[in-house]
Amino acid sequence: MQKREYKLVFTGPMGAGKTTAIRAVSEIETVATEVANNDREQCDKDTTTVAMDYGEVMLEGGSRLRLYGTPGQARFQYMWPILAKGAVGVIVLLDGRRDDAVATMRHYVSHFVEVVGEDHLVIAVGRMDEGASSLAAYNRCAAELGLSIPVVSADVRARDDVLMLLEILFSRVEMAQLAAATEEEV
Amino acid sequence: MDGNVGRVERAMLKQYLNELLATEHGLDGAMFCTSDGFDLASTLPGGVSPETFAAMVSSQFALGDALCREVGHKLCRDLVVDAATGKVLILEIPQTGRGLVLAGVASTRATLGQVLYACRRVAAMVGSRVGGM
Repeated sequence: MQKREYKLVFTGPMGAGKTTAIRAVSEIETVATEVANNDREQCDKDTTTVAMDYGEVMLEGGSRLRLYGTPGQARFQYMWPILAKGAVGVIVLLDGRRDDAVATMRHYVSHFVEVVGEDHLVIAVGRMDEGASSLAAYNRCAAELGLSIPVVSADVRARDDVLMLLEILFSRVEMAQLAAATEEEV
Repeated sequence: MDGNVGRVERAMLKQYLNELLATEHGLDGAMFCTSDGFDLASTLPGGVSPETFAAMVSSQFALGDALCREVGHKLCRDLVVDAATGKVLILEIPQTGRGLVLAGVASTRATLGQVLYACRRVAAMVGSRVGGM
């Protein structure tokens, strides 16, 4: 079986858990670019990622999954195309407690669907157990965008939850590739 | 959002910037910014957005740190980005807990060693003035 390298991007707003998600599953010591956070109005945490996160997961058969995390603040949006280049898929992480979570989803999905396509996108809403509303609003948002994208609840601190996101993404990618191959044969 | 840098400190940073640009003719612009990418004082070439430049400087410096850590060289002190029509220099401001960064935009007429020396000198002076703020 041929060993392959896959690139996957975690994106989402500041504080959504991109760094945490990559740390939860990475089998190498992650590369982080965290510095002191001066923007407490946007997110009240001590540090913030200003370039990227990086981690790796080995897949069955020896293939390697390279995980990249984007910075969350709008001023670092220039990093998105740099990090997304060659990515097989994108996982959008959202903080379900935030009032603007659905609008934020629309912003990220509208951008990344153009980069990787809807079959290569997964939405994960975090902190659903802390008073957030149901996933219905996020599913409505996807429908309004005319997209069929899985929206799931996930605690990115939990390795199993992050692995679940990777599985969902890869199963969609494989199905899309299968469908494309079938179409070519026909 | 400003790295706890007040109006007086910003004015002082601007003064250092003006003096640096007045004496180093190879520099087309320079900026002091926070390590998370907020502009504190800047004079940049026309058309360069201070907000975007500050964000990019912070990303580059953080990547420099990550790169140096990866090869066991501890933390990055300076970065020199050499381009076809000039250079960009990024330097830590010592004694600020890696909270502040100085970036310079140098033209092809700049002598790298001279500009780097001048920027390091200013960075050291600023570090001794605002360190521990």
